[in-house]
Amino acid sequence: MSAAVDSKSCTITIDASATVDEAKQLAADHGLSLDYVVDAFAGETLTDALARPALLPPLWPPHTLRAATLEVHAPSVAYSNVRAPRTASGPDLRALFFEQGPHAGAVERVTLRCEPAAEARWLAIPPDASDVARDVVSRFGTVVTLHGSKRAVVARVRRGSAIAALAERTLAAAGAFMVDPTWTRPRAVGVSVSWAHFERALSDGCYVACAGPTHVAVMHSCSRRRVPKAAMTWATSAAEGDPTARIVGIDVDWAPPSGALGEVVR
Amino acid sequence: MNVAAGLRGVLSDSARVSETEGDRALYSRDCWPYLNVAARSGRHAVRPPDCVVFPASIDDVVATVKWCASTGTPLVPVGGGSGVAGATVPVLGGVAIDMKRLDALDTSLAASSNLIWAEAGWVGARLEHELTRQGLTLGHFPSSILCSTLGGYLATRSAGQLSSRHGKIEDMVVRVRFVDAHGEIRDSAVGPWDATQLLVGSEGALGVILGAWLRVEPAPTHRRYRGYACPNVHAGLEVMREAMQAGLRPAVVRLYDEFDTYISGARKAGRPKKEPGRLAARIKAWAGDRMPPAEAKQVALRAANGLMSRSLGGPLALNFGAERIYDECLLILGVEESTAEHADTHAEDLFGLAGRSLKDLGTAPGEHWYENRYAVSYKMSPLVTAGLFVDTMEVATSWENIENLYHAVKSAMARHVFIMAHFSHVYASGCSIYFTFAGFARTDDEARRAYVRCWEAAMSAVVAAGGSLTHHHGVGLMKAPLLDADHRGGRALYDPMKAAADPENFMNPGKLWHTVEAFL
Repeated sequence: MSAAVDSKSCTITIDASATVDEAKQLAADHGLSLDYVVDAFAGETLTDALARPALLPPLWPPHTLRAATLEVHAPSVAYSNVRAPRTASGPDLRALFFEQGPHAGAVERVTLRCEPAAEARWLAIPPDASDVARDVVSRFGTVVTLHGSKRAVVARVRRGSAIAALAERTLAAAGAFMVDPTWTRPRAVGVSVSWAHFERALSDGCYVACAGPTHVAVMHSCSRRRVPKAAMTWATSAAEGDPTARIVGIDVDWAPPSGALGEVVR
Repeated sequence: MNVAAGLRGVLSDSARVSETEGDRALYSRDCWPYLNVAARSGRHAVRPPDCVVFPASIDDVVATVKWCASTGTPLVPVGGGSGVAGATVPVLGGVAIDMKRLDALDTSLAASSNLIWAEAGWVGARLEHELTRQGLTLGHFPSSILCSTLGGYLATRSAGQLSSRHGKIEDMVVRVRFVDAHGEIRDSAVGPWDATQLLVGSEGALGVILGAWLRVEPAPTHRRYRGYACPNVHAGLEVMREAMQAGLRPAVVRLYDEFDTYISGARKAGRPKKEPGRLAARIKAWAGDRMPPAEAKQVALRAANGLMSRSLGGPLALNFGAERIYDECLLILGVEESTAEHADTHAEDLFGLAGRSLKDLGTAPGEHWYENRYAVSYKMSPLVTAGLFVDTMEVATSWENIENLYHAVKSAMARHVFIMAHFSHVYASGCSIYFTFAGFARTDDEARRAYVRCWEAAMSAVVAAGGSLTHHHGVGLMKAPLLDADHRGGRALYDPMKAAADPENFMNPGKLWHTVEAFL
């Protein structure tokens, strides 16, 4: 595995065949952190992680693998995007290689954005305080993610600043409690719904995979990679009435991509 | 075939189709400065659209798209027309479709989910005003906010002045609704593939954007701004980088290089103001005593012209001098939050970090910037009228490469134009540089050639230094020939996608990788 680190820009460049855990270790070895990659399952490679539908819309702040610089090689194309934090140079062609897009080649190397490693606390917020969770994500830009099979939303608060202490106080006042950040991510199918539909989407056996400023991913474990009909029916039903909902999954198979730029809605 | 008559036959009674010479001329261009320079020299190369459609509804947009598809007529979506790269110039004529009448807004999910639905025609300032009324903000404040639309922001990957707090437009959009080349209405992220980021930045070439689901936030009610004096650009950049990598989310982070600090006047904020336009006013007053007002104005213009010719006619010497005379850079930092406690706490972190290495100038520079934040765009017209060419270029790169890019571009342009820069739009992994430059030539045709030489030198320098050619102005006609520098191998990916999405190639043809000519 070849790798390069740009400590000043907080990026690591690594083969896409590396696992997410290996990328995290490389970052840690150089005083950096990839803690935002919270939804990877055990042994998942970066290639697999990029090919999986994102559990949440990639909104600011950009805690997502999809902010990576890609180097793609295939018989008909050798593609890479410029190393800049943002550009306005037309459509973001990286999207062709993410999720179930019409992949034109294999991603060989990725440059991932990290942040300096810092002490952090993980705080679980009960579902009845979900308004506080949404507010904290939106106002403080903390990473919010899954906590095992519990239904609590979990926020990561990076320590060492007055603003982080304020975020922590806000969460504590809502009944949040410290949790151990080690967990497993079971194979699952679910739905990414807006916060307005969060309570309705929660049902027995569900867990909260992650949450952002606008959406929450509510998942249902399943034992096989092929999504059972019942799980898909549940997810479809949970998405009903939410014009921004999306069916998502972790470590499950999807239908082959159509390549069309979006779905017909009318 | 009469395009206007054909469209009138398929549109609703509420839609409007214009063939007037004025409308066609207006929609033949955007605010790309090259078009001003070229027009002045008699080389106005662009072709006006055959007509302009003002749809009253989404159904009108669909009908227009279907009619254009069936007749192979080029279709160019237009928002505010404030673009500065030529993206809405109808290079093959056809139909310009003005989206500004599409301004539906749904905020019913804002309180519970921070989400709104807004149609493409919303002018930025109106949208923000409406959201503010409801205690919300989109957080998108480009300097063109008074004359640009949401559809334009999405189509060009726009950035606002508070992007370090709220992100660029692509960081605010959950999904886009658009009309494809077959007249179907589609959402960009329903199935297991999210194509939103392909529609964003597509500049009208992959579909007509109808609107979007966007993330909003509570409107800030508490602002804290401060200015800091930096001994040089490097010292300011270090503070900016540290702040973003510490996880802070400042609303404003702007570092002016030495000469931009002097020119912007922000450093002088809080001191007694000089009379504006003192020199021009004196010339005019002197001439006004001796001749009629119209003639006096011409004399004043010629005099100003002569002065600028002497100074800007030799940009290398001027740039050399400016670098050595001015020795201080201004950094403006600001936070905006919805509670006083949050604002004070955020300010404590941010200003504490800056104060460790930089000289605190107090609140005046930041407040001066805030008061004048939209003014700079409107200062260019008088300079152009006086015979100069003025333009801006926004590039981006990693922190590791930022100073290299800054010096490379300055060095490449210094012999052509007078140049200054500020650094803004800041991220944990890098930031953008916003160059402002001005040049002068004795004749309009010389000015056009100088403008072209300057841009060619600048873009070559950006590519050689490994930066991105554009951070938020978009591609348009100007940067299209070099698009593969930002997307190495990109054309091989774009062509099949464009062919599938728009087989008749009528959606804003001649743009992105399909530029019909090298305009410069």
